[in-house]
Amino acid sequence: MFGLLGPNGAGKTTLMKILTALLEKTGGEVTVCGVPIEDGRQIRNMTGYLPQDFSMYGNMSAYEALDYLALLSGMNKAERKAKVPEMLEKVNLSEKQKTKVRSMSGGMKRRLGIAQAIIHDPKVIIVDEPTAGLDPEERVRFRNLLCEIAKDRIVLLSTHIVGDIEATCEKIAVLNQGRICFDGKVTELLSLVEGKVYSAEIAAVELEKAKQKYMVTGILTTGSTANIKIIADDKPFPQARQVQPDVEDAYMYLMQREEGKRVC
Amino acid sequence: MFGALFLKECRQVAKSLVYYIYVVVFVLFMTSQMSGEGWEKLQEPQPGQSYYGETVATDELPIMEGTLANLVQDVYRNSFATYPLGFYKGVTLTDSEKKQAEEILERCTGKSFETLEEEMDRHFRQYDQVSTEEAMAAAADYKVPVKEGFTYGEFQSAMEEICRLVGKGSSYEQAEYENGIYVPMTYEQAKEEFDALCSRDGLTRAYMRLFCDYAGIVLAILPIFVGVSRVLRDRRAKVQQVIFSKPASGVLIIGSRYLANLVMIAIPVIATAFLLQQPYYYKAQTFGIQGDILAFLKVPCLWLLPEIMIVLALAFLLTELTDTIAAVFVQTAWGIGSLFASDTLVGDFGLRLITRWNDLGQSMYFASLEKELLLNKGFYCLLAAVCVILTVLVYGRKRRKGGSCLWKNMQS
Repeated sequence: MFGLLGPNGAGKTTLMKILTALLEKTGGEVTVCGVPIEDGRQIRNMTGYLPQDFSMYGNMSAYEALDYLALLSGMNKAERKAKVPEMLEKVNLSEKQKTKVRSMSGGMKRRLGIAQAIIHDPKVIIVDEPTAGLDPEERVRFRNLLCEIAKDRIVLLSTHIVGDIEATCEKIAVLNQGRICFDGKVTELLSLVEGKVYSAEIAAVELEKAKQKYMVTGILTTGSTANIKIIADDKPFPQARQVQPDVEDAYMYLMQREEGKRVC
Repeated sequence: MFGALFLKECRQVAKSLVYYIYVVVFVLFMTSQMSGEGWEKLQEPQPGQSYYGETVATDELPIMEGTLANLVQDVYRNSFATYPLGFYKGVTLTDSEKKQAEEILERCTGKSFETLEEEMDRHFRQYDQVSTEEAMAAAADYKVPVKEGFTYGEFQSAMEEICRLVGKGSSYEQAEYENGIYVPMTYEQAKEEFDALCSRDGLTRAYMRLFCDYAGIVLAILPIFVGVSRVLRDRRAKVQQVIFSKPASGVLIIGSRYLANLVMIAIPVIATAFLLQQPYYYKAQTFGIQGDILAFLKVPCLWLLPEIMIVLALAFLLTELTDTIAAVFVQTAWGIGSLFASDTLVGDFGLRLITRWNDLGQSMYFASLEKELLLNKGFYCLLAAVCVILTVLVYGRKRRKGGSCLWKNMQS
């Protein structure tokens, strides 16, 4: 499972669309598993796409919607008859197969979306911001589903939610303003801030001063004191203690560096 | 695969509210127009009747006499009906213009307008105007003879002068008077027409032509709404991206949608035709006439299907191209324009979208125009095919452009 991380407007959706032959590239060379994206038909055959705002005709039931999209994926009647219930089962929508799409929750629609993306057994699954707008429980459930799917195929997960990447991906790329500014393993991204993340308890009144001087990635205010998380080259306060960095720290560090701001 | 997708698309249409509105409007319109239409035609003409109906004049003399008879009445009332842009406009001449019109009449007939007035008065007094049949016979029999040696060329020039006085869209334009002058039928003509109606048309075919005349008017507009709503449904339901990402080709997607909409639009048309034909068919049997039981299928398929095809294809094309409801306005204007541009309610098919035959009968006249009708329908079938191919190309282009509106892209 490969994560594509980046701020809003970084170009993630544009890249996803190019990879699924939904948008023509303006330059360069793009291939998916060695197939140039100009070969739209083959690309569509080997990829499954879950767009950011997936939906289906509101008057269709979950079963009808999946059957319709399976048909558009080139599956014959016998294949559909076997695969549609199987996929609904896989995404835990078996009991809701007669529910109209218009009556489905956001999470149910996303699960239906992932079912349609994998129904024709593609080599590559491309999912664009799949957890945006979901409640925490549904988000965790969806992430687990993606991990399960990724066992036997490539899943390209695009998101601006760092937690999703951290929980699911081993390899990631960070995209900023249409440019890949990091490409590697999560551990390599974390190594960028290794030994630079500190936690300290300071007086709440000193918070503004600290924010001006350091890159603050976390604040928890309790009465007149604040627990802050800081990225700094050296120990910022005598009372500060070094802590394990997480992907969010590394991502913030990378973004600030990309924007040419002071990072430490 | 095409068949399965076609059936799914049919089911989609059958779930659409717009489709049911179309069905209701169509059925209500047709039943209101066709109820009790033309039962009198089922009576065999008998010798000695005062009136046998009318037929379109094809000889120059009756055309001139009939047109001049209309002109005398219009000048007498000083009221001219014109349709300059397809819509009615009453024209009243000034005193000097009226004088000119009277002089034209005098030139054509060799009689003063006062004499023509007196003759007209005398003619209509001979009939009992209270009886509808008598009043129709009076109007049909009224003729104004031209003066001796007056040629058709001179008549045409005179009518051009009248057109200059009353403006465009009057019944004195050549295409109008050459197709719009009816002369009373004789017993022999009526008998021949009745025989042709029974044998050549099997009677129900003639009835179905009348059905197609009315249906053709609403079908120039109603299918637009069904087509536009189908194309816009993808965007409205936010399914464009996911459908674009599927391996199915544009030909398959657009082709199945188009065909499904076409069939679903045609079903109520054929069903209504069948239901309206049945009482007519059985009534005809009681008169000993064997109707064509399949006329409800044959005539509407030839007459109406090409019209539905082009209206639907253009709705698909314009909506895919613009992502708006522009097709509704463009095609409504075309439909209304075609309706009012017709020179006659019977025949004059040309390449008009709406082909009129507002009469139960005139079977022999129809036989002479059958080739013209086939050309018209063939042309629209071809045009519809071209529009569908263009829609597939536009769809393919949109697919590669992430679904963005092609029309806006072209403009920018």
